[in-house]
Amino acid sequence: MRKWVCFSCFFVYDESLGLPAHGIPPGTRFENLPDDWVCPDCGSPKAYFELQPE
Amino acid sequence: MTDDFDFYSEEFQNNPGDTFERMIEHCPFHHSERWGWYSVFRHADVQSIVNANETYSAKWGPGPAYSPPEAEILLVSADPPEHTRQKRAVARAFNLKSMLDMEPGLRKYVNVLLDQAQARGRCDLIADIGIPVPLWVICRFLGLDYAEHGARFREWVEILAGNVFAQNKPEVAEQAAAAGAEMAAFFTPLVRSKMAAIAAGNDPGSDILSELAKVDIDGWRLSEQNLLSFANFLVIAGSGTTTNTIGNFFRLMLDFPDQYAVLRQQPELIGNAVEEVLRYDAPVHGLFRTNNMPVHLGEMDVPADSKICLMWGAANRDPTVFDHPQTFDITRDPEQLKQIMSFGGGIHRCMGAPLARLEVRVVAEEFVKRFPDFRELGTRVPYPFATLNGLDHLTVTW
Repeated sequence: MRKWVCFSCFFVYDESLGLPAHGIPPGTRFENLPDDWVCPDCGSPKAYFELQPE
Repeated sequence: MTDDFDFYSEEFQNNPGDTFERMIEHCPFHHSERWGWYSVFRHADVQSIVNANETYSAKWGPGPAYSPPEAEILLVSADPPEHTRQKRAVARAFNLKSMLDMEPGLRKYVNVLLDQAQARGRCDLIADIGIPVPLWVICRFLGLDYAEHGARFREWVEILAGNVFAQNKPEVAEQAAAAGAEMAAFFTPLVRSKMAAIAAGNDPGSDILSELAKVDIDGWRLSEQNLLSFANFLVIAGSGTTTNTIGNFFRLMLDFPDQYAVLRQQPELIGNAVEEVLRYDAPVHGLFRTNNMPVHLGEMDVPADSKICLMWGAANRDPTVFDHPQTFDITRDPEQLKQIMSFGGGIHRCMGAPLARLEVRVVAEEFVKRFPDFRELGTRVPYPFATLNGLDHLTVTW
């Protein structure tokens, strides 16, 4: 499981946790998020996320 | 919509909250015949515009004037895909870690300022705390000595931040052009030295311009103009806004002493209090987008290429999002406070937001510890430019 960082606001999407409050179950891989999914913090699109280095 | 809102009026500038409440309820979209631009007040409308990047562009600049589109003006006037590439590059160096790493040094510096204030027995919370703190942090990012450069940076900030909403006054534009030229003359050799060091295979250093110059994304690098633009933006956008937020924190604690009493008893609420200060008095009333195509705002037909001001301060007072929005309450639900728009939203959300929050929080934490009681001396002086919401002087004793 990986973590992805929004480089607009630095929100971290943790695949292992998902975002249950937003209907995204734990274990959801970033690439499986809908194409129109946006950062829950700032609203930036998926293109504004980068894989967080280990 | 009727032209009953004037951004530059004393009524609005002195008390934006009441105007926002009225506009949210009665006139959520407004067109000013006098100034030629549109304003959007409700949270949901502001939010939908910041997320619609294909319709609403940043290329004509964040102010009411049409700044000529220039691809190399970093971030603030860029649209995707260029904006995406620039922001990815900047975030490699200017990121959460680099900002939070400032905390220990910042805390020491704040205590030096408070020692000096304590020794004097009085303090202008803007001149003695609000102005030096963000400029000290910026100098530290740039690897420059605050004592040597701080005063000059502040002059540039005053002129160039003031110019953003300058009503086309030629004398202000001339001053701004001169200040811009001075800044370019100051930063250009610095940027060139970093780029030359890299070209020669040497390490230019660990300051933010060096780190940005080192960023290489699949062979693409930030240009000299990009780096100059970042330096300018760091100084101009990163200081005055924070100065005013620090001032707004203290002003609100003086205006609502019951809230300061709560903070004294529960200092763990300081983080929440900072968010409530940002909500209640956004340091920037609003910034602009330009529509790429004709749009409707409420019942208004808005022609393409119109300047549209997204009123962050009004969105923060929207009763559909915030309970009792006209009440200043540092115990407000943190979930509600996540909706504040003081730093904008979407892809142009202010990257320095964590740094601004850190600075205000550290100032508040150290001040509350040392000055459980303080009172105002003399008369408040409002900030002289319409760009920012705050004070120019706020003198206190204890």
